Amino acid sequence: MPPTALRSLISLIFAAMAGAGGVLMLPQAGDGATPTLIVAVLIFLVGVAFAGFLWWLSARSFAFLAAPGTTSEQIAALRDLPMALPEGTVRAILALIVGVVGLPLLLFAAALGLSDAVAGYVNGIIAGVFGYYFGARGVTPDVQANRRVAEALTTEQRAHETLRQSTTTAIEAATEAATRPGREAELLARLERHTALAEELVQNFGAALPPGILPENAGALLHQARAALGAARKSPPDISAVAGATAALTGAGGPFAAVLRMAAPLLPGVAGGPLAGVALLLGLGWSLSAGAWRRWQAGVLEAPHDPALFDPGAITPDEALSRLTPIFAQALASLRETPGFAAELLDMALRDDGAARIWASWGQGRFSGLAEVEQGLVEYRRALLEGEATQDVSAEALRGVAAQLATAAPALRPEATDPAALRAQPGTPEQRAALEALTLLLGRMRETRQDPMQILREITP
Amino acid sequence: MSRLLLLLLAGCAPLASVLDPPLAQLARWQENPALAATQPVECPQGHPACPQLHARRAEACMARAMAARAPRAACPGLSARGDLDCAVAAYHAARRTNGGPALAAGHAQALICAGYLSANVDHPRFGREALAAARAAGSELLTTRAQALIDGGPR
Repeated sequence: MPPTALRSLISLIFAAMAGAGGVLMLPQAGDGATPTLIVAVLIFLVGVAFAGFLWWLSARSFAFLAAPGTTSEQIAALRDLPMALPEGTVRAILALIVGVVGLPLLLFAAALGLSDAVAGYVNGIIAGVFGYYFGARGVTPDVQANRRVAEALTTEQRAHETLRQSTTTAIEAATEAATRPGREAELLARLERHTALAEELVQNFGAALPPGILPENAGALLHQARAALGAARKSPPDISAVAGATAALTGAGGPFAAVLRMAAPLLPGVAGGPLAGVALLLGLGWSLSAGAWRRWQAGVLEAPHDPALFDPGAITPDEALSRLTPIFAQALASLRETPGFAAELLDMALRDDGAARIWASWGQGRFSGLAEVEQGLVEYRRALLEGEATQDVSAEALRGVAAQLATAAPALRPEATDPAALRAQPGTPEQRAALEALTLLLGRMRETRQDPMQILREITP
Repeated sequence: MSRLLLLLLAGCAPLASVLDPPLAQLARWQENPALAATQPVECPQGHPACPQLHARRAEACMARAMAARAPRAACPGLSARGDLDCAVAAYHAARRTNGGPALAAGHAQALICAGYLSANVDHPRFGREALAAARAAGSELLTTRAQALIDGGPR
């Protein structure tokens, strides 16, 4: 390169440097400054070379960061380093620049025509940089040792973390294996509960519920649940089937959920939504009605009940049969062995329309007509009445009355105790009127609770 | 909501019909005793409501049978045969757990009347059962009637 051309190039470079705020306090280019310019250009080239070297290092560093194999831990480790370069790289480059550029400037200060002041500045810079560099290097071993210790600790922590994770995984696996039977039992119990609920809804309430409340596939879901329960009781149990059936019953398509949804609009005002209202109602109903149910149950079971006593009645079928009067005895003789004959005869004879009943039931072929039935019924009723009276006036009762009259006047003391002896005999009208009057008087005494025995004992007729 | 809750709580009888049918039946019969004569007892053995259910059914059937009697008659006619059979069976079941004299008296009375409505050859069988029940009831009148049924003759 000719000196003129070189000089022009150097002038351009200095002009650029001056425009960029160049720091070198070099004299203006002139004919006597050619060595100085050459040295300056060399220094500039050395600086550019170092800049290129730094650019190359940075490029490698960014390539390293962008590489897929670079881990996050490595990136984190580089984050604290200057320019993401290995520690000391920047300091070494700066020291090299100062050394490579500054030392020749200092050595050739006289040749370059530098003033003593500039040489002193350069000397100060070189001394400062080298002093800092080697001073820092003196401390660096501790920093590196610390860094290595920190890295070792980090590695150890990672190893511990890995071990802890593997241990946790192993514990979880063991726990899972140990608790599997319990979880399977819980799953089975859950399915059984929901199957029972679905059975209640589908089988017991289904027929009574209006169409559309229960889902159409409710029966199929129930069948699926039963099948899953059956399969689950085998060994080993089919847990997936159990889980599937449970999810189907407990899901939104299950019968219980369908009923809840149907009822939900009735409770729109409950905070949390209509379904929450239904759930609240069910919960309250269950918790509150438990006590009400127990009280009601106790009330029903402990309600007093005294078995009724029924009037035994006066005339048994046996007695009715024994008192058959001639007309009936003859006409109904063929029926005596018929089951229930005596009870049926008594039943008809004691009713107001007895004659018509007997005629309708047994009259044809046995009586000449209704008139004969009526005649026979009059006889029969009289016989029944007499028999009833005989029962009332028992010998024992007669003996009791006689005992009470034992202290009465001798004429009033009865001796006969035969009930038949008390049957009134035909007499004069006056006699009958007197007897009837006594009967009426007795009735009056009964009303006034006046004991006739006392009266009789006090009189002497 | 309060109305629905009240309905839920107050509806113990409908609830019982699902949860406890014997209890629900007992509640219905306490409310309307005549129902007992028309509904069979549905009660598993050992349920606490069973004795009362049988007793109430016996009483209801017997009441219907006795109501069908003619005035002063001790027993009804053939039309009450079904009610008497019902009463006999229910008294029998009720007396398994309740040996009270009232039930025994009713049982004896039902057996006597059912006996009179049955064939003559069955009179002794009904009579013997009625006799045992009448003695348990301590009723002289019923004992006499049961004995008369066994003897097959007038008192």
